[in-house]
Amino acid sequence: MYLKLLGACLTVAGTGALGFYLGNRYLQRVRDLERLINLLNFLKSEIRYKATPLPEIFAKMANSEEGTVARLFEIKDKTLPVNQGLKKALVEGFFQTALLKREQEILLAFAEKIGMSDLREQENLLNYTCEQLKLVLAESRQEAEKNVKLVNYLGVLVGAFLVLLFF
Amino acid sequence: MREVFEILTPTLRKVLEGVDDLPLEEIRIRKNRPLSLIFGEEEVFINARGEYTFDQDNGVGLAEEEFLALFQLITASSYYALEEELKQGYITIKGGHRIGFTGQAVLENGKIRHIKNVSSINIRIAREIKGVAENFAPYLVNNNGEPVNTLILSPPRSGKTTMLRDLARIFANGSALLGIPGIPVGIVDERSEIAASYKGEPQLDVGIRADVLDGCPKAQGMIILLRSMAPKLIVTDEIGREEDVGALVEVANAGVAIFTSAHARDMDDLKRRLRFLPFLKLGIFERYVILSRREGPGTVEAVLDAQGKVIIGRD
Repeated sequence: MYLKLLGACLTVAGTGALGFYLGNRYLQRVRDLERLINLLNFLKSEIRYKATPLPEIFAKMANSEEGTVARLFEIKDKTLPVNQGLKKALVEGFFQTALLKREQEILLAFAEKIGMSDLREQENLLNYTCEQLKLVLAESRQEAEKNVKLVNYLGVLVGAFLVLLFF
Repeated sequence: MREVFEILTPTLRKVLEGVDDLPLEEIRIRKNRPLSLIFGEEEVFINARGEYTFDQDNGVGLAEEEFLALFQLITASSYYALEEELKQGYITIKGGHRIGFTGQAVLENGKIRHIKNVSSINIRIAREIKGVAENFAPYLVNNNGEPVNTLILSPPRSGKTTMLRDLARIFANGSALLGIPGIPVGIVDERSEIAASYKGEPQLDVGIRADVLDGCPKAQGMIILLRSMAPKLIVTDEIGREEDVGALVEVANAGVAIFTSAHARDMDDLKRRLRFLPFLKLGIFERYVILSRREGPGTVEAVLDAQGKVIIGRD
Protein backbone atom coordinates (compact mmCIF):
# COMPACT_ATOMS: atom_id res chain seq x y z
CA MET A 1 0.00 0.00 0.00
CA TYR A 2 2.76 2.37 1.09
CA LEU A 3 4.79 1.29 -1.89
CA LYS A 4 1.89 2.12 -4.24
CA LEU A 5 1.48 5.48 -2.55
CA LEU A 6 5.17 6.19 -2.94
CA GLY A 7 5.02 5.16 -6.62
CA ALA A 8 2.02 7.42 -7.24
CA CYS A 9 3.73 10.36 -5.56
CA LEU A 10 6.90 9.81 -7.56
CA THR A 11 4.92 9.59 -10.82
CA VAL A 12 3.06 12.84 -10.16
CA ALA A 13 6.27 14.55 -8.99
CA GLY A 14 8.17 13.32 -12.06
CA THR A 15 5.65 14.38 -14.66
CA GLY A 16 5.04 17.60 -12.71
CA ALA A 17 8.79 18.36 -12.75
CA LEU A 18 8.88 17.64 -16.47
CA GLY A 19 5.98 20.05 -16.95
CA PHE A 20 7.76 22.73 -14.93
CA TYR A 21 10.99 22.11 -16.89
CA LEU A 22 9.20 22.48 -20.22
CA GLY A 23 7.35 25.55 -18.96
CA ASN A 24 10.63 27.02 -17.79
CA ARG A 25 12.14 26.51 -21.26
CA TYR A 26 9.54 28.94 -22.60
CA LEU A 27 10.52 31.52 -19.98
CA GLN A 28 14.22 30.83 -20.50
CA ARG A 29 13.85 31.42 -24.22
CA VAL A 30 12.27 34.82 -23.51
CA ARG A 31 15.14 35.68 -21.14
CA ASP A 32 17.76 34.49 -23.63
CA LEU A 33 16.21 36.55 -26.41
CA GLU A 34 16.17 39.65 -24.19
CA ARG A 35 19.81 39.11 -23.29
CA LEU A 36 20.73 38.50 -26.91
CA ILE A 37 19.12 41.79 -27.94
CA ASN A 38 20.98 43.56 -25.10
CA LEU A 39 24.24 42.10 -26.35
CA LEU A 40 23.56 43.15 -29.93
CA ASN A 41 22.74 46.68 -28.72
CA PHE A 42 26.09 46.71 -26.92
CA LEU A 43 27.76 45.57 -30.15
CA LYS A 44 26.00 48.34 -32.03
CA SER A 45 27.24 50.99 -29.59
CA GLU A 46 30.82 49.69 -29.70
CA ILE A 47 30.79 49.78 -33.50
CA ARG A 48 29.03 53.11 -33.86
CA TYR A 49 30.75 55.17 -31.18
CA LYS A 50 34.10 53.50 -30.67
CA ALA A 51 34.80 51.59 -33.89
CA THR A 52 36.18 48.81 -31.70
CA PRO A 53 37.45 45.83 -33.73
CA LEU A 54 35.16 42.78 -33.58
CA PRO A 55 37.55 40.40 -31.77
CA GLU A 56 37.69 42.87 -28.86
CA ILE A 57 33.92 43.38 -28.81
CA PHE A 58 33.16 39.65 -28.91
CA ALA A 59 35.63 39.06 -26.05
CA LYS A 60 33.81 41.70 -23.97
CA MET A 61 30.42 40.21 -24.88
CA ALA A 62 31.53 36.67 -23.95
CA ASN A 63 32.68 37.91 -20.53
CA SER A 64 29.49 39.83 -19.82
CA GLU A 65 26.85 38.88 -17.28
CA GLU A 66 24.34 37.79 -19.90
CA GLY A 67 24.40 34.09 -19.03
CA THR A 68 24.80 31.25 -21.51
CA VAL A 69 23.83 33.50 -24.42
CA ALA A 70 27.00 35.51 -23.84
CA ARG A 71 29.09 32.34 -24.33
CA LEU A 72 27.79 32.18 -27.92
CA PHE A 73 30.22 34.98 -28.70
CA GLU A 74 33.25 33.27 -27.21
CA ILE A 75 35.47 32.62 -30.21
CA LYS A 76 37.89 29.86 -29.33
CA ASP A 77 39.38 29.15 -32.74
CA LYS A 78 41.65 32.14 -33.31
CA THR A 79 43.10 30.78 -36.55
CA LEU A 80 39.83 31.39 -38.40
CA PRO A 81 38.64 34.79 -39.63
CA VAL A 82 36.37 36.26 -36.93
CA ASN A 83 33.17 35.62 -38.92
CA GLN A 84 33.90 31.95 -39.36
CA GLY A 85 35.02 31.70 -35.73
CA LEU A 86 31.71 33.23 -34.65
CA LYS A 87 29.72 30.84 -36.82
CA LYS A 88 31.55 27.90 -35.26
CA ALA A 89 30.98 29.27 -31.75
CA LEU A 90 27.28 29.80 -32.49
CA VAL A 91 26.82 26.25 -33.73
CA GLU A 92 28.77 24.73 -30.83
CA GLY A 93 27.24 26.84 -28.05
CA PHE A 94 23.67 26.88 -29.21
CA PHE A 95 22.48 23.77 -27.35
CA GLN A 96 23.41 25.41 -24.04
CA THR A 97 20.78 28.10 -24.57
CA ALA A 98 17.00 27.92 -24.76
CA LEU A 99 17.01 29.51 -28.21
CA LEU A 100 15.42 27.69 -31.12
CA LYS A 101 16.51 26.97 -34.70
CA ARG A 102 14.82 30.12 -35.96
CA GLU A 103 17.02 32.32 -33.75
CA GLN A 104 20.07 30.32 -34.77
CA GLU A 105 19.34 30.98 -38.43
CA ILE A 106 19.00 34.72 -37.75
CA LEU A 107 22.32 34.72 -35.88
CA LEU A 108 24.15 32.69 -38.52
CA ALA A 109 22.96 35.07 -41.25
CA PHE A 110 24.17 37.94 -39.07
CA ALA A 111 27.57 36.26 -38.53
CA GLU A 112 27.95 35.90 -42.30
CA LYS A 113 27.99 39.66 -42.78
CA ILE A 114 29.17 41.23 -39.55
CA GLY A 115 32.35 43.26 -40.00
CA MET A 116 32.26 42.95 -43.77
CA SER A 117 31.09 46.41 -44.72
CA ASP A 118 31.22 50.06 -43.73
CA LEU A 119 29.65 51.60 -40.64
CA ARG A 120 26.35 52.46 -42.27
CA GLU A 121 25.81 48.97 -43.64
CA GLN A 122 26.86 47.43 -40.33
CA GLU A 123 24.29 49.54 -38.52
CA ASN A 124 21.66 48.45 -41.01
CA LEU A 125 22.63 44.82 -40.46
CA LEU A 126 22.45 45.16 -36.68
CA ASN A 127 19.14 47.02 -36.80
CA TYR A 128 17.71 44.37 -39.11
CA THR A 129 18.94 41.53 -36.89
CA CYS A 130 17.62 43.22 -33.75
CA GLU A 131 14.23 43.83 -35.40
CA GLN A 132 13.98 40.18 -36.37
CA LEU A 133 14.88 39.09 -32.86
CA LYS A 134 12.37 41.52 -31.35
CA LEU A 135 9.63 39.94 -33.46
CA VAL A 136 10.70 36.52 -32.26
CA LEU A 137 10.81 37.87 -28.70
CA ALA A 138 7.24 39.19 -28.94
CA GLU A 139 6.05 35.81 -30.23
CA SER A 140 8.00 33.93 -27.59
CA ARG A 141 6.42 36.08 -24.86
CA GLN A 142 2.96 35.26 -26.20
CA GLU A 143 3.86 31.58 -26.39
CA ALA A 144 5.21 31.67 -22.85
CA GLU A 145 2.10 33.40 -21.56
CA LYS A 146 -0.11 30.89 -23.30
CA ASN A 147 1.85 27.73 -22.60
CA VAL A 148 3.75 27.97 -19.32
CA LYS A 149 0.76 27.41 -17.02
CA LEU A 150 -0.70 24.89 -19.44
CA VAL A 151 2.46 22.80 -19.54
CA ASN A 152 2.88 23.08 -15.77
CA TYR A 153 -0.68 21.85 -15.12
CA LEU A 154 -0.42 19.28 -17.86
CA GLY A 155 2.65 17.78 -16.22
CA VAL A 156 0.79 17.30 -12.94
CA LEU A 157 -2.41 16.14 -14.68
CA VAL A 158 -0.58 13.56 -16.80
CA GLY A 159 0.98 12.25 -13.60
CA ALA A 160 -2.41 12.08 -11.93
CA PHE A 161 -3.89 10.33 -14.98
CA LEU A 162 -1.12 7.74 -14.96
CA VAL A 163 -1.70 7.14 -11.27
CA LEU A 164 -5.40 6.57 -11.87
CA LEU A 165 -4.64 4.30 -14.80
CA PHE A 166 -2.01 2.08 -13.23
CA PHE A 167 -2.47 2.18 -9.49
CA MET B 1 57.58 39.84 -41.60
CA ARG B 2 56.17 38.19 -38.46
CA GLU B 3 53.32 40.70 -38.45
CA VAL B 4 52.57 39.93 -42.10
CA PHE B 5 52.37 36.21 -41.40
CA GLU B 6 49.77 36.87 -38.71
CA ILE B 7 47.32 38.19 -41.28
CA LEU B 8 47.86 35.48 -43.90
CA THR B 9 45.70 32.41 -44.42
CA PRO B 10 47.31 29.06 -43.49
CA THR B 11 47.84 28.21 -47.19
CA LEU B 12 49.64 31.46 -47.88
CA ARG B 13 51.71 31.11 -44.73
CA LYS B 14 52.88 27.71 -45.90
CA VAL B 15 53.74 28.99 -49.38
CA LEU B 16 55.71 31.91 -47.97
CA GLU B 17 57.64 29.93 -45.35
CA GLY B 18 61.31 30.80 -45.56
CA VAL B 19 60.69 33.95 -47.55
CA ASP B 20 61.61 36.01 -44.48
CA ASP B 21 65.30 35.66 -45.33
CA LEU B 22 64.78 37.00 -48.85
CA PRO B 23 64.46 40.66 -49.88
CA LEU B 24 60.70 40.42 -50.52
CA GLU B 25 59.17 43.83 -51.23
CA GLU B 26 55.59 43.08 -52.19
CA ILE B 27 53.01 40.29 -52.23
CA ARG B 28 50.44 40.97 -54.93
CA ILE B 29 47.24 38.98 -54.59
CA ARG B 30 44.46 39.24 -57.15
CA LYS B 31 41.27 37.22 -56.82
CA ASN B 32 41.24 34.20 -59.15
CA ARG B 33 44.50 35.31 -60.79
CA PRO B 34 48.11 34.27 -60.17
CA LEU B 35 49.69 35.53 -56.99
CA SER B 36 53.05 37.24 -57.44
CA LEU B 37 55.95 38.12 -55.19
CA ILE B 38 58.12 41.11 -55.95
CA PHE B 39 61.81 40.87 -55.09
CA GLY B 40 63.36 44.13 -56.27
CA GLU B 41 63.09 44.01 -60.05
CA GLU B 42 62.09 40.33 -60.13
CA GLU B 43 58.52 39.03 -60.15
CA VAL B 44 58.05 35.47 -58.97
CA PHE B 45 54.90 33.33 -59.15
CA ILE B 46 53.77 30.28 -57.18
CA ASN B 47 52.89 27.11 -59.07
CA ALA B 48 50.30 24.49 -58.14
CA ARG B 49 52.89 22.55 -56.11
CA GLY B 50 53.59 25.64 -54.00
CA GLU B 51 57.01 26.21 -55.60
CA TYR B 52 58.39 29.49 -56.91
CA THR B 53 58.39 29.98 -60.68
CA PHE B 54 59.13 32.78 -63.14
CA ASP B 55 56.54 31.38 -65.53
CA GLN B 56 53.36 33.41 -65.11
CA ASP B 57 51.32 30.82 -67.03
CA ASN B 58 52.02 28.27 -64.30
CA GLY B 59 51.19 30.68 -61.50
CA VAL B 60 48.24 29.98 -59.26
CA GLY B 61 46.29 32.40 -57.10
CA LEU B 62 43.63 32.51 -54.44
CA ALA B 63 40.10 31.39 -55.17
CA GLU B 64 37.14 33.44 -53.99
CA GLU B 65 36.75 31.78 -50.59
CA GLU B 66 40.37 32.04 -49.53
CA PHE B 67 40.65 35.56 -50.87
CA LEU B 68 37.69 36.54 -48.71
CA ALA B 69 39.23 34.82 -45.69
CA LEU B 70 42.46 36.75 -46.31
CA PHE B 71 40.57 40.03 -46.48
CA GLN B 72 38.79 39.18 -43.24
CA LEU B 73 42.06 38.32 -41.52
CA ILE B 74 43.64 41.58 -42.71
CA THR B 75 40.73 43.67 -41.47
CA ALA B 76 40.14 41.48 -38.36
CA SER B 77 36.61 41.22 -39.79
CA SER B 78 36.18 44.84 -38.74
CA TYR B 79 35.92 46.69 -42.03
CA TYR B 80 34.00 49.54 -40.37
CA ALA B 81 36.90 50.20 -37.97
CA LEU B 82 39.22 50.84 -40.93
CA GLU B 83 36.74 52.83 -42.96
CA GLU B 84 38.74 56.06 -43.03
CA GLU B 85 41.95 54.29 -44.06
CA LEU B 86 40.14 52.17 -46.63
CA LYS B 87 38.78 55.31 -48.29
CA GLN B 88 42.38 56.05 -49.19
CA GLY B 89 42.84 52.53 -50.50
CA TYR B 90 45.31 51.22 -47.94
CA ILE B 91 45.85 50.40 -44.31
CA THR B 92 49.01 50.12 -42.23
CA ILE B 93 49.37 47.09 -39.98
CA LYS B 94 51.66 46.40 -37.02
CA GLY B 95 55.27 46.55 -38.08
CA GLY B 96 54.49 49.37 -40.50
CA HIS B 97 53.65 47.10 -43.44
CA ARG B 98 51.18 48.65 -45.82
CA ILE B 99 48.30 46.82 -47.45
CA GLY B 100 46.65 48.36 -50.51
CA PHE B 101 43.23 47.42 -51.86
CA THR B 102 41.32 47.90 -55.07
CA GLY B 103 37.79 46.86 -55.89
CA GLN B 104 34.54 48.68 -56.44
CA ALA B 105 34.54 52.28 -55.25
CA VAL B 106 31.29 53.42 -53.64
CA LEU B 107 30.78 57.15 -54.18
CA GLU B 108 28.78 59.68 -52.23
CA ASN B 109 28.56 63.30 -53.39
CA GLY B 110 31.37 62.58 -55.83
CA LYS B 111 33.74 61.36 -53.11
CA ILE B 112 34.74 57.82 -52.27
CA ARG B 113 32.68 56.55 -49.33
CA HIS B 114 34.40 53.19 -49.27
CA ILE B 115 35.72 50.40 -51.43
CA LYS B 116 33.68 47.21 -51.61
CA ASN B 117 34.05 43.90 -53.41
CA VAL B 118 37.82 44.05 -53.01
CA SER B 119 39.52 42.08 -55.77
CA SER B 120 43.20 42.98 -55.42
CA ILE B 121 45.41 43.16 -52.35
CA ASN B 122 48.98 44.39 -52.35
CA ILE B 123 51.05 43.77 -49.24
CA ARG B 124 54.11 46.01 -49.17
CA ILE B 125 56.74 44.87 -46.73
CA ALA B 126 58.23 47.69 -44.67
CA ARG B 127 61.96 47.32 -44.25
CA GLU B 128 63.88 50.07 -42.55
CA ILE B 129 67.48 50.47 -43.57
CA LYS B 130 69.24 52.31 -40.82
CA GLY B 131 72.31 54.31 -41.64
CA VAL B 132 71.64 54.90 -45.36
CA ALA B 133 71.64 58.68 -44.90
CA GLU B 134 74.73 58.83 -42.69
CA ASN B 135 77.09 59.46 -45.61
CA PHE B 136 75.47 62.70 -46.64
CA ALA B 137 73.68 63.89 -43.46
CA PRO B 138 76.68 66.03 -42.38
CA TYR B 139 76.27 68.02 -45.64
CA LEU B 140 72.75 69.04 -44.68
CA VAL B 141 73.76 71.26 -41.77
CA ASN B 142 75.05 74.83 -41.61
CA ASN B 143 78.14 76.04 -39.79
CA ASN B 144 76.28 75.96 -36.47
CA GLY B 145 75.40 72.30 -36.96
CA GLU B 146 71.74 73.15 -37.57
CA PRO B 147 69.85 71.41 -40.38
CA VAL B 148 69.17 73.43 -43.55
CA ASN B 149 66.10 73.18 -45.80
CA THR B 150 66.61 70.15 -48.00
CA LEU B 151 64.68 68.69 -50.92
CA ILE B 152 65.27 65.06 -51.87
CA LEU B 153 64.64 64.30 -55.55
CA SER B 154 64.18 60.88 -57.07
CA PRO B 155 61.99 58.84 -59.37
CA PRO B 156 59.42 56.56 -57.64
CA ARG B 157 60.74 53.58 -55.63
CA SER B 158 64.23 55.01 -55.31
CA GLY B 159 64.32 55.32 -51.56
CA LYS B 160 63.13 58.86 -50.83
CA THR B 161 61.04 57.83 -47.85
CA THR B 162 63.76 55.54 -46.49
CA MET B 163 66.21 58.46 -46.66
CA LEU B 164 63.80 60.86 -44.96
CA ARG B 165 63.16 58.32 -42.19
CA ASP B 166 66.87 57.80 -41.62
CA LEU B 167 67.53 61.54 -41.64
CA ALA B 168 64.75 62.03 -39.08
CA ARG B 169 66.34 59.32 -36.94
CA ILE B 170 69.85 60.79 -37.22
CA PHE B 171 68.74 64.32 -36.31
CA ALA B 172 66.28 63.23 -33.60
CA ASN B 173 68.84 60.97 -31.92
CA GLY B 174 71.87 63.11 -32.67
CA SER B 175 75.18 61.60 -33.66
CA ALA B 176 78.50 62.43 -32.02
CA LEU B 177 80.24 60.63 -34.85
CA LEU B 178 78.61 62.81 -37.50
CA GLY B 179 78.80 65.96 -35.35
CA ILE B 180 75.03 66.33 -35.31
CA PRO B 181 73.32 67.26 -32.01
CA GLY B 182 69.93 65.71 -31.22
CA ILE B 183 67.05 68.10 -31.88
CA PRO B 184 63.24 67.88 -31.72
CA VAL B 185 61.99 66.63 -35.07
CA GLY B 186 58.37 66.90 -36.20
CA ILE B 187 57.21 64.42 -38.84
CA VAL B 188 54.06 64.99 -40.86
CA ASP B 189 53.36 61.51 -42.17
CA GLU B 190 50.36 61.99 -44.42
CA ARG B 191 50.48 58.50 -45.91
CA SER B 192 52.00 56.70 -42.90
CA GLU B 193 55.07 55.87 -44.94
CA ILE B 194 57.85 57.57 -42.99
CA ALA B 195 57.16 56.28 -39.49
CA ALA B 196 54.66 53.59 -40.57
CA SER B 197 52.51 54.33 -37.53
CA TYR B 198 50.00 51.81 -36.28
CA LYS B 199 47.30 53.35 -34.06
CA GLY B 200 49.39 56.52 -33.90
CA GLU B 201 52.55 54.83 -32.71
CA PRO B 202 55.62 54.80 -34.99
CA GLN B 203 56.54 51.25 -35.96
CA LEU B 204 59.87 52.20 -37.49
CA ASP B 205 62.76 53.95 -35.75
CA VAL B 206 62.46 57.69 -36.32
CA GLY B 207 64.57 58.71 -33.33
CA ILE B 208 63.94 59.53 -29.70
CA ARG B 209 63.09 63.20 -30.21
CA ALA B 210 60.70 62.70 -33.11
CA ASP B 211 57.00 63.56 -32.85
CA VAL B 212 54.83 62.04 -35.56
CA LEU B 213 51.58 63.49 -36.84
CA ASP B 214 50.18 60.51 -38.67
CA GLY B 215 47.67 60.60 -41.53
CA CYS B 216 47.47 64.39 -41.51
CA PRO B 217 47.52 66.50 -44.69
CA LYS B 218 51.02 67.99 -45.05
CA ALA B 219 50.15 71.68 -45.12
CA GLN B 220 47.89 71.50 -42.06
CA GLY B 221 50.26 69.15 -40.29
CA MET B 222 53.29 71.41 -40.68
CA ILE B 223 51.40 74.32 -39.10
CA ILE B 224 50.05 72.15 -36.28
CA LEU B 225 53.55 70.86 -35.50
CA LEU B 226 54.98 74.38 -35.54
CA ARG B 227 52.44 75.51 -32.96
CA SER B 228 52.20 72.44 -30.81
CA MET B 229 55.58 70.74 -30.65
CA ALA B 230 58.16 73.50 -31.34
CA PRO B 231 60.32 71.33 -33.58
CA LYS B 232 63.66 72.48 -34.95
CA LEU B 233 63.26 70.29 -38.02
CA ILE B 234 60.13 69.22 -39.87
CA VAL B 235 60.24 66.13 -42.08
CA THR B 236 57.51 65.41 -44.60
CA ASP B 237 57.19 63.42 -47.80
CA GLU B 238 56.35 64.40 -51.37
CA ILE B 239 55.39 68.04 -51.47
CA GLY B 240 53.70 69.35 -54.59
CA ARG B 241 50.26 70.67 -53.73
CA GLU B 242 49.38 74.33 -53.93
CA GLU B 243 48.66 74.61 -50.21
CA ASP B 244 52.10 73.18 -49.36
CA VAL B 245 53.73 76.41 -50.61
CA GLY B 246 52.10 78.56 -47.92
CA ALA B 247 52.92 76.03 -45.22
CA LEU B 248 56.58 75.90 -46.30
CA VAL B 249 56.80 79.70 -46.14
CA GLU B 250 55.37 79.66 -42.63
CA VAL B 251 57.82 76.96 -41.53
CA ALA B 252 60.75 78.84 -43.04
CA ASN B 253 59.63 82.13 -41.45
CA ALA B 254 59.48 80.41 -38.08
CA GLY B 255 63.15 79.53 -38.45
CA VAL B 256 62.43 75.81 -38.53
CA ALA B 257 64.28 73.67 -41.06
CA ILE B 258 62.44 71.33 -43.40
CA PHE B 259 63.47 68.07 -45.05
CA THR B 260 61.09 66.98 -47.77
CA SER B 261 61.00 65.16 -51.09
CA ALA B 262 59.60 65.41 -54.61
CA HIS B 263 59.19 63.12 -57.61
CA ALA B 264 61.84 64.25 -60.10
CA ARG B 265 64.89 62.60 -61.64
CA ASP B 266 67.18 65.63 -61.19
CA MET B 267 67.17 69.43 -61.02
CA ASP B 268 66.37 69.86 -64.73
CA ASP B 269 63.43 67.48 -64.40
CA LEU B 270 62.23 69.39 -61.33
CA LYS B 271 62.40 72.75 -63.15
CA ARG B 272 60.38 71.33 -66.04
CA ARG B 273 57.48 70.38 -63.77
CA LEU B 274 55.14 73.34 -63.49
CA ARG B 275 53.73 72.42 -60.12
CA PHE B 276 57.16 72.69 -58.53
CA LEU B 277 57.86 76.19 -59.89
CA PRO B 278 56.25 77.96 -56.88
CA PHE B 279 58.49 75.92 -54.56
CA LEU B 280 61.62 76.81 -56.52
CA LYS B 281 60.62 80.47 -56.64
CA LEU B 282 60.48 80.53 -52.86
CA GLY B 283 64.21 79.90 -52.88
CA ILE B 284 64.08 78.31 -49.47
CA PHE B 285 65.94 75.08 -50.27
CA GLU B 286 69.63 75.17 -49.50
CA ARG B 287 70.37 71.57 -50.39
CA TYR B 288 69.09 69.15 -53.02
CA VAL B 289 69.77 65.42 -52.70
CA ILE B 290 69.47 63.46 -55.96
CA LEU B 291 68.69 59.74 -55.60
CA SER B 292 68.44 56.96 -58.17
CA ARG B 293 68.19 53.17 -58.39
CA ARG B 294 71.46 52.86 -60.27
CA GLU B 295 73.02 50.66 -57.59
CA GLY B 296 69.75 49.71 -55.97
CA PRO B 297 67.20 51.93 -54.24
CA GLY B 298 68.74 54.80 -52.31
CA THR B 299 71.78 55.39 -54.51
CA VAL B 300 72.88 58.96 -53.74
CA GLU B 301 73.84 60.56 -57.03
CA ALA B 302 74.66 64.02 -55.69
CA VAL B 303 74.09 66.58 -53.01
CA LEU B 304 73.71 70.09 -54.49
CA ASP B 305 73.67 73.49 -52.87
CA ALA B 306 71.04 76.20 -53.38
CA GLN B 307 72.62 77.23 -56.69
CA GLY B 308 72.72 73.66 -57.96
CA LYS B 309 76.47 73.35 -57.43
CA VAL B 310 77.61 69.83 -56.59
CA ILE B 311 78.78 69.49 -52.99
CA ILE B 312 79.25 65.75 -53.19
CA GLY B 313 78.59 63.58 -56.22
CA ARG B 314 79.32 60.15 -57.62
CA ASP B 315 81.01 61.35 -60.81
